[in-house]
This record gives sequence, C-alpha cells and structure tokens, in this order.
Amino acid sequence: MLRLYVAGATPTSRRAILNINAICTEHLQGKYDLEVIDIYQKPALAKDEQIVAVPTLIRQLPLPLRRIIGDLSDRKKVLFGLNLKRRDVTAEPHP
Amino acid sequence: MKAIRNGNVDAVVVDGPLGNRIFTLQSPEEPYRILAERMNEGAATLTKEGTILFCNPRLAEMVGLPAERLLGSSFFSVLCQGDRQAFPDLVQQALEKDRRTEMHLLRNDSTMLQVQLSLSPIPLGESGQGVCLIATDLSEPQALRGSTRVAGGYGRVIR
Repeated sequence: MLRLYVAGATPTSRRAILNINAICTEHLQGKYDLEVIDIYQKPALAKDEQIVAVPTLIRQLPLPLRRIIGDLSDRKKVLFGLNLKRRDVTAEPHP
Repeated sequence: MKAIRNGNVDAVVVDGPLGNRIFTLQSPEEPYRILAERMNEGAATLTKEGTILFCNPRLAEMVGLPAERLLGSSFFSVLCQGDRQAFPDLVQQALEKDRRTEMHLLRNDSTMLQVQLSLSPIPLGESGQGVCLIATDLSEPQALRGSTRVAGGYGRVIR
C-alpha cells in the first residue's frame, strides 16, 4: 500500500504522480493500492503521517514503513526504497 | 534533506502553535489554487492520456470518491461506459482548442450524473500538453448553475 503526498498542481507534484504511476504499472502489475493525497486539501493526514516535505511517497505495507522524498524521478532510488530493485532497471524516468 | 537541497520538493509542513502550516517553496499561485479548490464546479487537470494530476473537492464529491482515489487515476474510470469511447477524441481536440460536451459521470454508488464537460488546453511544462477540465452538474436547477458559471470561467486560467 502506497501513499503519495503532493502539493496541489505544482510541476514537482505532477512529476511525482506520473513517475509513481509509471513505476507501479511497470513493476507492480496491478498488485498495489495507491492513494495520492493533496496536502492542501487534507492537511490533517499530512500531520498524522508527520510529513515534513512534499512530494513524499510512503510505503505503508508491507512493513517496514519506507519514505521517499522528492519527485521520484530517480528510478533506481525509488525501486530500492520500495524493495523492488532489479539489476535490469533501464527504463527512463519521466523528465 | 538532500531532496530539499536539490529542488525536488515544493512544500514543507511545519507544526506550529496555530496548527499545521504549509510553506510552499515555489509557485506564487495560491489565489488560483484556492479558487479551484472552493469553486462549485468540478475541476481537474489531466494529461493527454487522461491521468488526473489535480482535482478539486467538488469533482470528488460529484463522483462520490475521496480525492486521494482520483488523483493519479484515469478520468476514464469515472466516465460511464457509453462515454468512454468518445473521450480520447475529445481530449485530443481539447489539446488544440476549447471543447464542450455533455457526458455522464459514473458515481461510486453506480449511479450516473449528467454533466457538461468543458475542456481547455493547458501547458504542463515538462509533462507536455494537457487539458483543464471543468464539470458542471446538469442535475442542479438551472438558476443554481447560472450562479456558478463565473467561477467556471476563472477555472480556465488556472495553471
């Protein structure tokens, strides 16, 4: 289960949404539950999860909980953070 | 901290005596964001493939889903089956110029909501060209729709 915190329609947040969509489609083949939360519309959720910067991706399940801050354009770093890293990662991130 | 230094974040959340405060590191567009969030018509930013990059609370209310379930998903999923085939062409046309049509949203409780969709081209920077979508609930009384039309017009310029 993944939660991506974004800040409205800013360019960085747009990139983060497109990047996590591409990663999920490519590496999780439908076996995921993604929520994208706009902190402007749901500030209480951001507080509950102790978000200090956005975009932040949280892998809630499976444990342990992992956090990745940024626009998720570093594909290798994101895959490593999600425990999905493969040796043959060659796909280009969204610019 | 590295992500902040590299410019890969655009807001930080700080807990203060008055509650949570959000400090935006870029984009001086707050008045437009607030307008989009509070308008009485559904509003969304879509990629040319139909992925929802932004939606306001009213659109979430119109389809009966929380916004966090809409963001990042495809707008096709909230259209009635009968309108899904026509939507890609509509988006392609709206990448060039404003388009307007009536369609039906598929609500989470499986009921349909007749809406007028207004689509306008919007540049998404590095993400390419997209469309700005305004959904007007046609089930509302005519007088009420008239009162919200001004807000819809402003929605077109939101970036």
